[in-house]
Amino acid sequence: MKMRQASMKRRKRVGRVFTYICLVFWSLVIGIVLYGAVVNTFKGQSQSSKSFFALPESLDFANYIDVWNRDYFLSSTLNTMLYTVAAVAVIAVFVPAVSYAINQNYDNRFFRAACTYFTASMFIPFQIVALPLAMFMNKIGLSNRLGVTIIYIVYPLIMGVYLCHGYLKSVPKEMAEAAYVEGASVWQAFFRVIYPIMKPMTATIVIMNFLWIWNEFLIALMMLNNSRAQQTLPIFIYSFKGQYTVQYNLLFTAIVLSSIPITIMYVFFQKYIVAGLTGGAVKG
Amino acid sequence: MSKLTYTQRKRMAYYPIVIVALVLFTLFFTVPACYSLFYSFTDWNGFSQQFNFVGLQNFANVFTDKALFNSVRFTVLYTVVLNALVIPASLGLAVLLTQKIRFLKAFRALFFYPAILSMLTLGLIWNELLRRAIPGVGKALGVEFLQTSLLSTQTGAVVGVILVSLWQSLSIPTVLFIASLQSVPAELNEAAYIDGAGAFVRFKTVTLPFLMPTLTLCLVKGIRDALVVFDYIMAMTQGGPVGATESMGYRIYQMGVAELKFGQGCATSMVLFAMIGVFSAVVMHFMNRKGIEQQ
Repeated sequence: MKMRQASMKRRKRVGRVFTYICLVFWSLVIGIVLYGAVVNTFKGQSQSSKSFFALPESLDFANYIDVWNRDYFLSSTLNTMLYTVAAVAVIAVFVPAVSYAINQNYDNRFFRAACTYFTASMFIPFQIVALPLAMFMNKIGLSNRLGVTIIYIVYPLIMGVYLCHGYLKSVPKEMAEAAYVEGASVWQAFFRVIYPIMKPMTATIVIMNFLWIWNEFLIALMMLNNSRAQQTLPIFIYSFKGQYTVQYNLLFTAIVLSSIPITIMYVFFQKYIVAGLTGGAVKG
Repeated sequence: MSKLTYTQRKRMAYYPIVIVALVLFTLFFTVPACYSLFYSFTDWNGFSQQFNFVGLQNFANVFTDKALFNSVRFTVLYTVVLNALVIPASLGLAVLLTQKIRFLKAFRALFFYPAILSMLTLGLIWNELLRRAIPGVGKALGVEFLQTSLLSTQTGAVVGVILVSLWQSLSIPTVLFIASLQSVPAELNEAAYIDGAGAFVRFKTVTLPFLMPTLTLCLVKGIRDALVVFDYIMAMTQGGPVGATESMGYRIYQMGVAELKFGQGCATSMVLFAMIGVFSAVVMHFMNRKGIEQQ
């Protein structure tokens, strides 16, 4: 009996060591990429080509100053911030409100059809829309800031209505009814009673779309290719690649700079970000 | 107005916002999608006044044109191999991350971090790592096989693109699997343990049925995301060398933007849509049957 316990203990310890080895290995695989990208932002061209993974000789911010002063860096950053914040601010109210209207009238054929219409589009790849959309937006004069922002507001309806609709099913209908009895209009009831209840789901949708818009590349590339002044950070970073092929220090610097805001967000709102990227399936 | 009942009157207040949403969505999503379907039957180049209807020619081209079919083949290969790696690897990581270990929170935070970065950004970082940094290290250490870039050969580039995708794609499924592993009741596991079931049997009979919904979700989402891959290709190989890593998403973009084959591009996107449908249907059919078998 004692021997069996001892062998079990040993097996458990072996298992634990194996667990740590695997986790540390994967941490290194992730870490070395991030380390390589960050560390080379502090090196000059010649230094990093000699010793890519070595620590920098000094904390040199020359690359940061260089990128900061490049044409279009500042405008691209401001554009990305503008599109992201504007679209997300609208999404935060618009998507829950549309879902609430659908949810309250689900017995009506029109609202049911609307729900199906939005959610069924989940299976349609963006590639189907990509080419005609760019042409169409150009034709109606929306290949600009306003146009991309509209797109960034409209497309989140697909996942947003799906998620909110699922969430609202668990909210008793009597909650809104009680507000009506007290004389509230349907939208007063929404903003005073339902919207606060939906907060966790709204947070999920806000984060999900914040990250999506911040990182979005293809739509911005296709719609804003006429005007560099309106382009976004991902396009700035990409054009960097073409122009300065050899200077990856600067490329990495631009990448690190563009990742700082979302990294700070990740540190503070990890719970909501995990929920957002897993479609609300996991609450942190 | 007075003839309307209370319910009808209340309902009227809900119409405007849903109608606004419907109009916007139709204008900016459905209308372009219909255009796409329409042009997929034409040889339109994207800007001239005239075009001809070519029937199903564009669809046939997807399977007969060498470059196009090549992109279909790469896309399917990429999707199958990537998901065959992502699912077991992320499940494995999830199992490790639900053990009682130290620094659990730190490991989880680090493993999820790649998910918040853009595919383009990571593709560009990896591009430099594979093309410059690793060959540089290889030269310094005198290790032969590290000296040439993985992305410079046809097979190597396919492997490289898949590995980079794997690096980032593990994050989300891992978190989803952690959640579903934690939903397995501990009593069930203990009962099986007392009955003498080994770790593998316990995993198969107790844990796996709880994982089925997540497994289906990860597969459907993973397949969809892999079939439309674009950013990594743009960032790393631009389809090369010699078209070895041209995905359908990249090909469609090229045809529409650079090659004046608008109609052909639209037809290819329709085929891509059909492929997503078929793959998803197969996965859901297979997983549902499995789920019933296990009950």
